[in-house]
Amino acid sequence: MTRIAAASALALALGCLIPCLIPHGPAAAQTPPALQNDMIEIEYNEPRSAKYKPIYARLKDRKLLEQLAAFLSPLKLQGGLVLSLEEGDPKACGGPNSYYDGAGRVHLCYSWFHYMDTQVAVERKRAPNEPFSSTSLGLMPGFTRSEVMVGGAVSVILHELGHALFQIQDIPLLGKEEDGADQIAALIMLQFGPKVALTTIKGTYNAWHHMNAERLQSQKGDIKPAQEADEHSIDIQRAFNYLCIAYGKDPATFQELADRLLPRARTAHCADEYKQAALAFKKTVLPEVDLDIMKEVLKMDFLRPEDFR
Amino acid sequence: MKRTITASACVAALVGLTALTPSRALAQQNISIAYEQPKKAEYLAIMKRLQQRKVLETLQQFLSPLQFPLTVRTAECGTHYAPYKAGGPVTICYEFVDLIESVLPGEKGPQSPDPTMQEMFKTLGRIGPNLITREMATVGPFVEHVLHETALAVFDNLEVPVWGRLHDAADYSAAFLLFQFGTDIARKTIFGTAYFLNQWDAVIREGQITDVNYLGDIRPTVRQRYYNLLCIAVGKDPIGFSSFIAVGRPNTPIDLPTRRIAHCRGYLAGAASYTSDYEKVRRAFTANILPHLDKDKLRKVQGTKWIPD
Repeated sequence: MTRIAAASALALALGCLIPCLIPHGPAAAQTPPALQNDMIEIEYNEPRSAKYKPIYARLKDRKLLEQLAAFLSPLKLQGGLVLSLEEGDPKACGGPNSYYDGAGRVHLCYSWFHYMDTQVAVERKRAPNEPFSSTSLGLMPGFTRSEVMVGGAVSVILHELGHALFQIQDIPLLGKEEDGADQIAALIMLQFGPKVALTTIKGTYNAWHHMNAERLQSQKGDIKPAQEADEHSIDIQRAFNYLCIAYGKDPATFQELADRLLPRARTAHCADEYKQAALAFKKTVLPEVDLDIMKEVLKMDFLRPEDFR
Repeated sequence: MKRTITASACVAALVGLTALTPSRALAQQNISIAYEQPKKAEYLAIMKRLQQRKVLETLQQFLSPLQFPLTVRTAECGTHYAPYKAGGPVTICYEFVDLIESVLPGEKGPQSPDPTMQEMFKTLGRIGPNLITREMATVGPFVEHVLHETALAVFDNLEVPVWGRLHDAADYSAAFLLFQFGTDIARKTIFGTAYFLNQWDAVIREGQITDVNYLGDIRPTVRQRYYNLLCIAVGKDPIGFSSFIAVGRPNTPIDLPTRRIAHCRGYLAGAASYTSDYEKVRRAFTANILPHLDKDKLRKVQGTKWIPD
């Protein structure tokens, strides 16, 4: 079962990156009219492939896109944004993948959610005494299927929204945009308290570890220059980046994971990496957030207890 | 790697940066400099020659448009790189100058098509089809390194919002700045830096490329930095750097892959348009850094011939 916690994470992120003076109100059962943003449209596109139909049904029933649109509603968008759940073009969505097309549309491909469900969030059999290594696939020791499903889904949604924001809001970019999109995703995932942070960051780390392991297996343990030439960082670097930002924000919650999974020399820089991302968010995204609408978003209760089981 | 020229010759190649008398117009009290005494005799020789050639004094003038206090120093670091720390100095390690020297073109250059020209070709290096002189291979990486480190100081002191990893942003900014002094300077320094990074990667790659401490460092891998540099170069000057684009021949690790080129150059895809990475950096620099520079001094700096023909 796919668990999505994105909506609440983003809502609280927007509220807590500025002085937290906005009071939290009682939970609301439905999206209030105030949370309609005329610049945002949603599309549930029924898949052609049978294997994606259960995902489509679950996400539609969960009202994923409605919730996503609601918590994005405080954004004073300079252009239209379409949130599309789709099977999509095999070349673009076949990956597994999701992407922002540069023309105002975020394509959330079923292939990505399916991949998390069937490949990443799966415990693989290992030989007795075989350690979990950089080339080991699937669920990592101490990680749960739920964490991978939530983290893998939330991170890709927020990453693609990051691209959309960069372009629609014409946000200045000095570094590589793909890493910037990861930073936005990580930053937002960390604003919702330790439980959501740990769930989503762990799931994201596992997703990138798995993809790195797949590539290492296909390349006989080697990393090719073509990977270093890509506009994305290498998969395992992306995992490190997410965890480092998390550790930088909340060392207490992420100490054990950082000790186990991050190079020791890197951990000394993580607080600065978090501060860098937070500063960029504060200076380039927050000025275009409607605080009155954000107050309404904060009254919503997007999370369900079963999301974390 | 065999050292085929002495440290003095390496530093002598930096004369191109230093043969300027101090200019009253570019005098700047907020930029402090220091040549720190090293412990090792080999680095003492490097320090003395840098002092004789007034390398830091020249940098002091070059950095004169900056309007915040900054110290630039040379020092023995124990390693080739001393990470910039917030509020701290920009440090050029003697070990880094040593590293540049260690991968310079040697005594056995590429085979000349004409035996009468072999003497001329003897000390040349090659990156792809491009011939590289020792001067290019010295000045390029040295200047790029200084600009990279200075960019980190600028980001820190001006609280510049940086999306993407900090050291990618510093590399991108350095490459961008190399284009602000004319095409000739850009080509000379970027070809030289590309040569250096390619050689350096060849030396360290085996045994390091899958090492998590290398992949998880705050800096990109050396090969990633190579492609970052070319991305900006191809984005701005595709003709001048066309030798790194595999047209009508197989792609090699020297080349920028097609997929990355699309992002570096910017492109149109249906209704979508993707801005080139060079243009993104230019816009970010213009928005967030340029307003804080002394415009008169900037014009003078841009009009000064820092590197001779």
